[in-house]
Amino acid sequence: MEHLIDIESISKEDILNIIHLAKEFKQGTKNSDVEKKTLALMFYENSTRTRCSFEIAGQKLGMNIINFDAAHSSLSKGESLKDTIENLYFLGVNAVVIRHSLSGIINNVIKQVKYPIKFINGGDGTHAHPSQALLDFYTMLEKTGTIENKKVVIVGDVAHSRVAKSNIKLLNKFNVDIHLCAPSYLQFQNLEAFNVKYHNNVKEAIDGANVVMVLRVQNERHEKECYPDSKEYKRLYEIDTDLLKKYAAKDVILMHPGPANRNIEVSSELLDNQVGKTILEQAQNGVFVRMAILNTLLNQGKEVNNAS
Amino acid sequence: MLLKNARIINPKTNLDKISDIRIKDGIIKEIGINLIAENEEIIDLTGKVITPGFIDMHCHLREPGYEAKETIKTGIASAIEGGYTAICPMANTNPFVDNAATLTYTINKAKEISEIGFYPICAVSKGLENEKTVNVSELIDNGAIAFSNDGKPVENMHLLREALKYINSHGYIIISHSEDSSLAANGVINEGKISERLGLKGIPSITESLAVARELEIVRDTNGRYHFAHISTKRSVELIRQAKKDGLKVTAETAPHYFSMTEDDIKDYDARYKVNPPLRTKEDLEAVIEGLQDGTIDVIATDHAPHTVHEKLLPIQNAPMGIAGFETSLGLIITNLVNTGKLTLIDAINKLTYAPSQILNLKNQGNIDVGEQANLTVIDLNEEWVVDASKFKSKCRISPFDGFKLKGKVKKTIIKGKIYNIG
Repeated sequence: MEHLIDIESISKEDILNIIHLAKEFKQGTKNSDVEKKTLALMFYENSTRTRCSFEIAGQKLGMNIINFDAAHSSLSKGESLKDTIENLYFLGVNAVVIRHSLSGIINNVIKQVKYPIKFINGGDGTHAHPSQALLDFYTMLEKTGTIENKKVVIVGDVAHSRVAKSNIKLLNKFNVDIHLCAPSYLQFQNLEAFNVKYHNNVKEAIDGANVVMVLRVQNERHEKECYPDSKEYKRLYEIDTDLLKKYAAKDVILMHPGPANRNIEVSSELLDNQVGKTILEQAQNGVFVRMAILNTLLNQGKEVNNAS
Repeated sequence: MLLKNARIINPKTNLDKISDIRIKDGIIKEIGINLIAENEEIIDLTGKVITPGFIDMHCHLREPGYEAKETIKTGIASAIEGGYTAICPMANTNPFVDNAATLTYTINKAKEISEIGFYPICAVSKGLENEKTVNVSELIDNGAIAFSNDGKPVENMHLLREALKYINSHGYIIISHSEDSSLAANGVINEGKISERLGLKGIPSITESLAVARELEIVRDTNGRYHFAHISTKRSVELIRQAKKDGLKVTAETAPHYFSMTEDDIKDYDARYKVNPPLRTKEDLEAVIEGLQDGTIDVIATDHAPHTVHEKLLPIQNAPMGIAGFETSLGLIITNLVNTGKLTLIDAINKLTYAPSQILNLKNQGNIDVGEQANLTVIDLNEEWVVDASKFKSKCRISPFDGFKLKGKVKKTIIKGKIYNIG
């Protein structure tokens, strides 16, 4: 595994290695192999969880962390991302985490950057969010033991969700029964693009579900688009305690990549009770999974020798 | 000058035989077997094919306004390299070719460079806005060959209806860029499996066919003469086929990329493949070829749409749409249509020569006959070559066809008797 750009470009074995390593970091049985390496966080879109999670993961590994200020960088003066990254490399940066609103931005820039800096996708447009999928998978495994043949239901703004896409691609590698539930206007336009089952009806979707992953309703998007407002969504798709009790499996696991809109896609009451606590554990696991990602990418035998 | 022993293919007269051609003062003087040289240059073209000079009824030369992408000079050089003796640049320059001054500027510029047939297509409406028809008769008197807002659709149906009636009344046509902009909005590639997988906003297939259907109703209503540019979808082909059956005076063109590539070729956010209309599915590609076969699609035009290399390396969402088309056109036609048995050679040449000359009423182009201007293209059907975009005459030295192995190459472009040897 050279970089972490999307789930398609890593193997099942890579995934299991990261999960295993994350578990060791969580248990405290593994030490960092990447102390003193330098990580730059380049976030061109807002983020709390992902950014803090990578920062804490890097700190725990003894890395130097640079928080690249995208808004005030040379990029705002028109410098290309390629030039910025090559400069960071020469400043001694070993890896970058990039979050950006453009799908495929890393695929574009990686072809142009001539130096061996490591790329980690921190979420690009509606393409991929691989570290999120890995931490979601870690949490599912931790809670269920085995995920094979379990029913995982993803509810919400599927069409615009890089989290959903990366999760689908990852879970498809492990023989999971994946269901998507959304109103037609938030479903994929092309239903053949992924190997999943589609539902408009939430009760039908979560029937017997082992995992219910709720996606954030992107209010800012609803305001701009032609489809109904988020109240309409809430009427039909809000996940609450009663719904889970009535239809989902008894030991159902509730997940949410955050940030949640309380009382829109998920009820406030559910978020604050014992079932909702998984979401916080999910965030916590993110740190260990990201430690595993950084340790794996930056500890590959031969020393990355920055130009000086 | 005597061109000896070439296989002459002339679609207008359905001629396909080995003959000699004598050219004097830029005019074809004699066609026949074993012509005797009369104190003139002799060029032996044994094994080569001579066709009427290619006509591109759809290209973008970018000047004035976007000279970094292409100039009239580099555009003409690229066209000649591709075997074209006549080209029709579109109006979406800056300023737009919606006024006589800009039109005259481009024509004069072209004249300084070459005697290539230079037939500008003027805007349908001022500023390509959906508001006011251009001054049609003034533009015709200054050299307009047709009218099109290509690059942007005409979406005001009242404007289109009135403009079509008026432009037709002068004996000229409108060329349609068929697109529904509310469906196309910010789309990057065809809407489908690939756009979904890559997380790119899709341009649905009906973006085109919806506009085609709507515009066909206007043509039916006005009994107009109308031409559809760059047809890329199965439904559009079906709609135009039916319209022709119904007797509507419509014609259509497609571009080589629509029968040479599909959305499946778009790998890894590579903006070289970004073009409007977008590369579609295999089913659409097959329908486009069927349309070419049964005559639903009359013409193959390049839609040569050059951009700077820098722009085409931008993230795909930000990169402009367009593919440089002149220099790969013949190779793609021979390789993907003729050598695959989809079109006969004479049919394919017809769509490059005689058919566009008829749609546009071009004088001096599209026909090999005594008394005609010597606008000819010499091709080698058997030459294999590899596309190397870095060597393009166009400023757009980047192409999705880079590295393609093609068969069929232009060897000489002859414009009014002047020979341009092609490398």
